Amino acid sequence: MKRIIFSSLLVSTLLLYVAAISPQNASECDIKSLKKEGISKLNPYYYSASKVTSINYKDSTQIIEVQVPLFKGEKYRMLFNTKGLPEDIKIEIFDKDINSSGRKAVFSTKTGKDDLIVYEPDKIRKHYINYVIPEGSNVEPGCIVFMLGYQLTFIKEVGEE
Amino acid sequence: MNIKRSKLTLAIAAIFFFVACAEAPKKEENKEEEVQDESVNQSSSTEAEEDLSFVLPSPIQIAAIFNRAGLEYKNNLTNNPENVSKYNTKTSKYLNFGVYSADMAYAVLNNKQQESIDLLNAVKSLSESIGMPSVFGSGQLIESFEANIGNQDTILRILTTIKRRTDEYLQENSEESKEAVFFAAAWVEGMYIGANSASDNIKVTPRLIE
Repeated sequence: MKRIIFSSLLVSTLLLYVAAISPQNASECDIKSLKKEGISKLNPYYYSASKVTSINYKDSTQIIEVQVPLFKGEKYRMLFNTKGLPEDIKIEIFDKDINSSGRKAVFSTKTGKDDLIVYEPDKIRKHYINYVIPEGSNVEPGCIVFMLGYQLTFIKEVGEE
Repeated sequence: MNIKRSKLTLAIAAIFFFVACAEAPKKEENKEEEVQDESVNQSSSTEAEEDLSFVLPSPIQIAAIFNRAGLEYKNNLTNNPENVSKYNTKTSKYLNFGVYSADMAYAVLNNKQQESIDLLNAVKSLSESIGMPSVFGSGQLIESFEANIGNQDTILRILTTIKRRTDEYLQENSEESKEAVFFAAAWVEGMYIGANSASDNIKVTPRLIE
Protein backbone atom coordinates (compact mmCIF):
# COMPACT_ATOMS: atom_id res chain seq x y z
CA MET A 1 0.00 0.00 0.00
CA LYS A 2 2.75 2.39 1.00
CA ARG A 3 4.66 1.48 -2.16
CA ILE A 4 1.65 2.40 -4.30
CA ILE A 5 1.26 5.76 -2.58
CA PHE A 6 4.93 6.63 -2.95
CA SER A 7 4.98 5.55 -6.62
CA SER A 8 1.89 7.63 -7.35
CA LEU A 9 3.42 10.62 -5.58
CA LEU A 10 6.64 10.29 -7.56
CA VAL A 11 4.86 9.92 -10.91
CA SER A 12 2.56 12.87 -10.29
CA THR A 13 5.47 15.05 -9.19
CA LEU A 14 7.41 14.07 -12.28
CA LEU A 15 4.45 14.99 -14.47
CA LEU A 16 4.11 18.32 -12.70
CA TYR A 17 7.83 18.99 -13.21
CA VAL A 18 7.67 18.20 -16.92
CA ALA A 19 4.60 20.39 -17.40
CA ALA A 20 6.22 23.31 -15.57
CA ILE A 21 9.47 23.30 -17.50
CA SER A 22 8.01 22.62 -20.94
CA PRO A 23 8.40 25.61 -23.25
CA GLN A 24 5.21 27.64 -23.31
CA ASN A 25 4.69 28.42 -26.97
CA ALA A 26 2.76 31.62 -27.40
CA SER A 27 1.58 30.47 -30.78
CA GLU A 28 0.43 27.20 -32.29
CA CYS A 29 1.25 28.46 -35.81
CA ASP A 30 2.76 26.11 -38.35
CA ILE A 31 5.03 28.79 -39.74
CA LYS A 32 6.68 26.56 -42.32
CA SER A 33 3.37 25.61 -43.95
CA LEU A 34 2.09 29.18 -43.83
CA LYS A 35 5.23 30.37 -45.59
CA LYS A 36 5.11 27.59 -48.17
CA GLU A 37 1.60 28.66 -49.14
CA GLY A 38 2.71 32.24 -49.45
CA ILE A 39 5.76 31.49 -51.60
CA SER A 40 3.66 30.13 -54.45
CA LYS A 41 1.50 33.27 -54.41
CA LEU A 42 4.56 35.51 -54.72
CA ASN A 43 5.36 34.14 -58.18
CA PRO A 44 6.58 35.63 -60.55
CA TYR A 45 8.10 37.98 -57.96
CA TYR A 46 11.28 36.82 -56.23
CA TYR A 47 11.17 36.25 -52.47
CA SER A 48 12.87 39.11 -50.66
CA ALA A 49 12.06 38.77 -46.95
CA SER A 50 9.47 37.59 -44.48
CA LYS A 51 8.35 38.44 -40.97
CA VAL A 52 6.34 36.33 -38.57
CA THR A 53 4.46 38.37 -35.99
CA SER A 54 3.03 36.69 -32.92
CA ILE A 55 -0.47 37.93 -32.14
CA ASN A 56 -1.45 37.80 -28.47
CA TYR A 57 -4.95 39.03 -27.75
CA LYS A 58 -5.17 41.15 -24.61
CA ASP A 59 -7.80 43.13 -22.67
CA SER A 60 -7.36 46.19 -24.83
CA THR A 61 -6.87 46.93 -28.54
CA GLN A 62 -3.22 46.83 -29.61
CA ILE A 63 -1.24 47.99 -32.60
CA ILE A 64 1.95 46.29 -33.77
CA GLU A 65 3.92 48.22 -36.37
CA VAL A 66 6.37 46.76 -38.90
CA GLN A 67 8.45 48.98 -41.16
CA VAL A 68 9.08 47.85 -44.73
CA PRO A 69 11.61 49.99 -46.61
CA LEU A 70 11.31 49.72 -50.38
CA PHE A 71 13.52 50.97 -53.20
CA LYS A 72 12.35 53.74 -55.49
CA GLY A 73 11.05 52.62 -58.85
CA GLU A 74 10.98 48.90 -57.98
CA LYS A 75 7.90 46.69 -58.11
CA TYR A 76 6.88 44.67 -55.09
CA ARG A 77 4.21 42.30 -53.90
CA MET A 78 3.25 42.04 -50.23
CA LEU A 79 1.51 38.96 -48.96
CA PHE A 80 -0.16 38.32 -45.59
CA ASN A 81 -1.00 34.75 -44.61
CA THR A 82 -3.64 35.03 -41.90
CA LYS A 83 -4.51 31.33 -41.50
CA GLY A 84 -2.76 31.30 -38.13
CA LEU A 85 -5.19 33.80 -36.60
CA PRO A 86 -7.99 32.50 -34.36
CA GLU A 87 -9.77 35.89 -34.45
CA ASP A 88 -9.83 38.56 -37.16
CA ILE A 89 -7.54 41.56 -36.98
CA LYS A 90 -7.23 44.68 -39.11
CA ILE A 91 -4.26 45.26 -41.41
CA GLU A 92 -3.48 48.85 -42.33
CA ILE A 93 -0.50 50.21 -44.25
CA PHE A 94 0.65 53.82 -43.80
CA ASP A 95 3.22 56.06 -45.44
CA LYS A 96 4.61 57.26 -42.08
CA ASP A 97 5.23 55.71 -38.70
CA ILE A 98 2.68 55.65 -35.90
CA ASN A 99 4.16 58.67 -34.13
CA SER A 100 4.05 60.92 -37.21
CA SER A 101 1.31 63.43 -37.80
CA GLY A 102 -0.57 63.55 -41.07
CA ARG A 103 0.12 60.00 -42.07
CA LYS A 104 -1.97 58.51 -44.82
CA ALA A 105 -3.37 55.00 -45.03
CA VAL A 106 -2.53 53.45 -48.40
CA PHE A 107 -4.15 50.10 -47.70
CA SER A 108 -6.68 48.79 -45.20
CA THR A 109 -8.40 45.46 -44.81
CA LYS A 110 -9.81 43.11 -42.22
CA THR A 111 -8.75 39.48 -42.11
CA GLY A 112 -11.37 36.74 -42.29
CA LYS A 113 -12.56 36.81 -45.90
CA ASP A 114 -9.36 35.49 -47.50
CA ASP A 115 -6.50 33.68 -45.81
CA LEU A 116 -3.94 35.14 -48.24
CA ILE A 117 -4.10 38.91 -48.62
CA VAL A 118 -2.10 40.41 -51.48
CA TYR A 119 -1.12 44.05 -51.89
CA GLU A 120 1.11 45.57 -54.56
CA PRO A 121 2.48 48.91 -53.32
CA ASP A 122 2.50 52.01 -55.41
CA LYS A 123 5.32 54.53 -55.48
CA ILE A 124 5.70 55.16 -51.73
CA ARG A 125 9.13 54.16 -50.45
CA LYS A 126 8.53 53.40 -46.81
CA HIS A 127 5.58 51.35 -45.77
CA TYR A 128 4.44 50.97 -42.18
CA ILE A 129 2.26 47.94 -41.62
CA ASN A 130 -0.06 48.23 -38.62
CA TYR A 131 -1.67 45.10 -37.24
CA VAL A 132 -4.64 46.33 -35.22
CA ILE A 133 -5.50 43.59 -32.76
CA PRO A 134 -8.94 43.83 -31.12
CA GLU A 135 -9.42 43.05 -27.45
CA GLY A 136 -9.94 39.41 -26.57
CA SER A 137 -8.42 38.17 -23.33
CA ASN A 138 -9.72 34.62 -23.70
CA VAL A 139 -8.56 34.18 -27.26
CA GLU A 140 -5.71 31.79 -28.04
CA PRO A 141 -2.57 33.42 -29.48
CA GLY A 142 -1.91 33.22 -33.20
CA CYS A 143 0.45 34.54 -35.82
CA ILE A 144 0.49 36.35 -39.11
CA VAL A 145 3.11 35.64 -41.76
CA PHE A 146 4.17 38.56 -43.96
CA MET A 147 6.16 37.95 -47.13
CA LEU A 148 7.68 40.42 -49.55
CA GLY A 149 8.49 39.71 -53.19
CA TYR A 150 10.21 41.94 -55.72
CA GLN A 151 10.29 42.01 -59.48
CA LEU A 152 13.77 41.27 -60.76
CA THR A 153 14.68 42.96 -64.01
CA PHE A 154 18.05 42.83 -65.70
CA ILE A 155 20.05 45.32 -67.73
CA LYS A 156 19.47 44.98 -71.42
CA GLU A 157 22.16 43.48 -73.64
CA VAL A 158 24.06 45.91 -75.88
CA GLY A 159 22.13 46.44 -79.12
CA GLU A 160 18.80 45.23 -77.70
CA GLU A 161 15.82 47.60 -77.72
CA MET B 1 15.81 -1.17 3.71
CA ASN B 2 12.18 -0.52 2.80
CA ILE B 3 12.13 2.54 5.06
CA LYS B 4 15.35 3.83 3.44
CA ARG B 5 13.89 3.32 -0.05
CA SER B 6 10.68 5.11 0.93
CA LYS B 7 12.64 8.06 2.32
CA LEU B 8 14.71 8.22 -0.85
CA THR B 9 11.60 8.19 -3.06
CA LEU B 10 10.05 10.91 -0.94
CA ALA B 11 13.22 12.99 -1.16
CA ILE B 12 13.34 12.69 -4.97
CA ALA B 13 9.64 13.57 -5.23
CA ALA B 14 10.20 16.60 -2.99
CA ILE B 15 13.12 17.81 -5.14
CA PHE B 16 11.08 17.57 -8.35
CA PHE B 17 8.12 19.24 -6.65
CA PHE B 18 10.16 22.22 -5.46
CA VAL B 19 11.87 22.64 -8.84
CA ALA B 20 8.49 22.60 -10.60
CA CYS B 21 7.23 25.27 -8.20
CA ALA B 22 10.33 27.34 -8.90
CA GLU B 23 9.40 27.42 -12.62
CA ALA B 24 5.82 28.52 -11.97
CA PRO B 25 6.39 32.14 -10.77
CA LYS B 26 7.40 33.28 -14.32
CA LYS B 27 3.73 33.33 -15.33
CA GLU B 28 2.80 35.44 -12.33
CA GLU B 29 5.65 37.89 -13.05
CA ASN B 30 4.37 38.29 -16.62
CA LYS B 31 0.87 38.93 -15.31
CA GLU B 32 2.22 41.65 -13.04
CA GLU B 33 4.02 43.29 -15.97
CA GLU B 34 0.84 43.21 -18.06
CA VAL B 35 -1.15 44.84 -15.26
CA GLN B 36 1.49 47.57 -14.98
CA ASP B 37 1.43 48.16 -18.74
CA GLU B 38 -2.34 48.46 -18.70
CA SER B 39 -2.29 50.99 -15.83
CA VAL B 40 0.27 53.16 -17.68
CA ASN B 41 -1.88 53.14 -20.81
CA GLN B 42 -5.19 53.79 -19.12
CA SER B 43 -5.46 57.19 -20.77
CA SER B 44 -5.83 55.57 -24.22
CA SER B 45 -7.77 52.44 -24.99
CA THR B 46 -5.27 51.34 -27.61
CA GLU B 47 -1.78 50.09 -26.85
CA ALA B 48 0.91 50.64 -29.44
CA GLU B 49 3.99 48.49 -29.21
CA GLU B 50 7.03 50.67 -28.54
CA ASP B 51 9.60 48.71 -30.53
CA LEU B 52 9.31 49.11 -34.27
CA SER B 53 10.28 45.96 -36.14
CA PHE B 54 11.76 45.97 -39.60
CA VAL B 55 11.73 43.86 -42.73
CA LEU B 56 15.22 43.94 -44.23
CA PRO B 57 15.57 43.98 -48.03
CA SER B 58 17.31 41.22 -49.96
CA PRO B 59 21.02 41.70 -50.83
CA ILE B 60 20.23 40.06 -54.18
CA GLN B 61 17.81 42.86 -55.00
CA ILE B 62 20.36 45.49 -53.97
CA ALA B 63 22.91 43.90 -56.32
CA ALA B 64 20.28 43.77 -59.10
CA ILE B 65 19.51 47.47 -58.68
CA PHE B 66 23.18 48.38 -58.99
CA ASN B 67 23.52 46.03 -61.92
CA ARG B 68 20.67 47.78 -63.73
CA ALA B 69 22.36 51.10 -63.07
CA GLY B 70 25.30 49.77 -65.05
CA LEU B 71 27.67 48.71 -62.27
CA GLU B 72 30.50 46.77 -63.91
CA TYR B 73 32.32 43.85 -62.36
CA LYS B 74 35.75 44.55 -60.87
CA ASN B 75 37.75 41.53 -59.69
CA ASN B 76 39.57 43.22 -56.86
CA LEU B 77 36.46 44.47 -55.08
CA THR B 78 35.12 41.16 -53.78
CA ASN B 79 36.45 39.34 -50.73
CA ASN B 80 38.73 36.47 -51.75
CA PRO B 81 36.93 33.14 -51.09
CA GLU B 82 40.23 31.70 -49.85
CA ASN B 83 40.00 34.02 -46.84
CA VAL B 84 37.24 31.81 -45.40
CA SER B 85 39.76 29.77 -43.41
CA LYS B 86 41.00 32.93 -41.67
CA TYR B 87 37.68 33.62 -39.94
CA ASN B 88 37.84 31.92 -36.58
CA THR B 89 35.59 33.99 -34.36
CA LYS B 90 31.78 33.92 -34.45
CA THR B 91 31.59 37.62 -35.23
CA SER B 92 33.98 37.41 -38.18
CA LYS B 93 32.06 34.41 -39.52
CA TYR B 94 28.67 36.14 -39.22
CA LEU B 95 29.96 39.32 -40.85
CA ASN B 96 31.67 37.54 -43.71
CA PHE B 97 28.62 35.41 -44.35
CA GLY B 98 26.91 38.68 -45.23
CA VAL B 99 29.93 39.96 -47.18
CA TYR B 100 30.25 36.83 -49.31
CA SER B 101 26.47 36.79 -49.92
CA ALA B 102 26.67 40.29 -51.38
CA ASP B 103 29.77 39.37 -53.43
CA MET B 104 28.04 36.26 -54.73
CA ALA B 105 25.01 38.25 -55.91
CA TYR B 106 27.39 40.75 -57.58
CA ALA B 107 29.26 37.96 -59.40
CA VAL B 108 26.07 36.14 -60.47
CA LEU B 109 24.46 39.27 -61.88
CA ASN B 110 27.61 39.99 -63.86
CA ASN B 111 27.74 36.43 -65.25
CA LYS B 112 31.05 35.62 -63.55
CA GLN B 113 30.60 31.86 -63.42
CA GLN B 114 33.74 30.57 -61.69
CA GLU B 115 33.75 33.46 -59.23
CA SER B 116 30.08 32.74 -58.43
CA ILE B 117 30.83 29.08 -57.68
CA ASP B 118 33.84 29.94 -55.51
CA LEU B 119 31.86 32.52 -53.56
CA LEU B 120 28.93 30.13 -53.13
CA ASN B 121 31.30 27.56 -51.65
CA ALA B 122 32.63 30.23 -49.27
CA VAL B 123 29.06 31.04 -48.16
CA LYS B 124 28.33 27.33 -47.70
CA SER B 125 31.48 26.82 -45.64
CA LEU B 126 30.58 29.70 -43.34
CA SER B 127 26.94 28.63 -43.00
CA GLU B 128 28.09 25.21 -41.79
CA SER B 129 30.59 26.63 -39.31
CA ILE B 130 28.05 29.04 -37.78
CA GLY B 131 25.51 26.27 -37.27
CA MET B 132 23.29 26.60 -40.34
CA PRO B 133 23.97 23.40 -42.31
CA SER B 134 20.26 23.03 -43.17
CA VAL B 135 20.49 26.05 -45.47
CA PHE B 136 22.42 24.09 -48.08
CA GLY B 137 21.10 20.66 -47.15
CA SER B 138 22.81 17.59 -48.59
CA GLY B 139 24.63 19.45 -51.36
CA GLN B 140 21.92 19.29 -54.01
CA LEU B 141 21.72 23.05 -54.10
CA ILE B 142 25.42 23.39 -54.96
CA GLU B 143 25.11 20.72 -57.68
CA SER B 144 22.10 22.46 -59.13
CA PHE B 145 23.93 25.81 -59.03
CA GLU B 146 26.94 24.40 -60.90
CA ALA B 147 24.78 22.56 -63.43
CA ASN B 148 22.76 25.70 -64.23
CA ILE B 149 25.58 28.22 -64.03
CA GLY B 150 24.83 29.53 -67.52
CA ASN B 151 21.14 30.19 -66.75
CA GLN B 152 20.92 33.41 -64.78
CA ASP B 153 17.24 33.10 -63.92
CA THR B 154 17.71 29.60 -62.43
CA ILE B 155 20.79 30.71 -60.52
CA LEU B 156 18.92 33.65 -59.05
CA ARG B 157 16.09 31.35 -58.00
CA ILE B 158 18.67 29.18 -56.24
CA LEU B 159 20.12 32.23 -54.45
CA THR B 160 16.59 33.20 -53.44
CA THR B 161 16.07 29.70 -52.01
CA ILE B 162 19.27 30.09 -49.97
CA LYS B 163 18.04 33.45 -48.66
CA ARG B 164 14.65 32.00 -47.77
CA ARG B 165 16.15 28.98 -45.98
CA THR B 166 18.49 31.28 -44.04
CA ASP B 167 15.51 33.41 -42.95
CA GLU B 168 13.55 30.29 -41.94
CA TYR B 169 16.46 28.89 -39.94
CA LEU B 170 16.93 32.17 -38.08
CA GLN B 171 13.20 32.50 -37.33
CA GLU B 172 12.81 28.89 -36.19
CA ASN B 173 15.77 29.25 -33.85
CA SER B 174 14.78 32.75 -32.63
CA GLU B 175 18.01 34.19 -33.99
CA GLU B 176 16.61 37.15 -35.91
CA SER B 177 19.39 39.31 -34.47
CA LYS B 178 21.87 37.40 -36.65
CA GLU B 179 19.86 38.45 -39.71
CA ALA B 180 20.60 42.08 -38.84
CA VAL B 181 24.34 41.28 -38.67
CA PHE B 182 24.27 39.47 -42.02
CA PHE B 183 22.34 42.28 -43.63
CA ALA B 184 24.56 45.00 -42.16
CA ALA B 185 27.67 43.27 -43.52
CA ALA B 186 26.07 42.68 -46.94
CA TRP B 187 24.90 46.27 -46.98
CA VAL B 188 28.37 47.67 -46.20
CA GLU B 189 29.91 45.37 -48.83
CA GLY B 190 27.32 46.51 -51.38
CA MET B 191 28.05 50.16 -50.60
CA TYR B 192 31.79 49.49 -50.86
CA ILE B 193 31.39 47.89 -54.28
CA GLY B 194 29.01 50.61 -55.45
CA ALA B 195 31.18 53.47 -54.15
CA ASN B 196 34.29 52.07 -55.82
CA SER B 197 32.48 51.87 -59.13
CA ALA B 198 30.44 55.07 -58.86
CA SER B 199 33.18 57.31 -60.20
CA ASP B 200 33.01 55.39 -63.49
CA ASN B 201 29.25 55.44 -63.78
CA ILE B 202 27.03 58.40 -62.94
CA LYS B 203 23.86 56.26 -62.80
CA VAL B 204 25.16 54.31 -59.79
CA THR B 205 25.58 57.39 -57.57
CA PRO B 206 21.86 58.18 -57.10
CA ARG B 207 21.18 54.53 -56.20
CA LEU B 208 24.03 54.67 -53.67
CA ILE B 209 22.57 57.82 -52.11
CA GLU B 210 19.13 56.21 -51.97
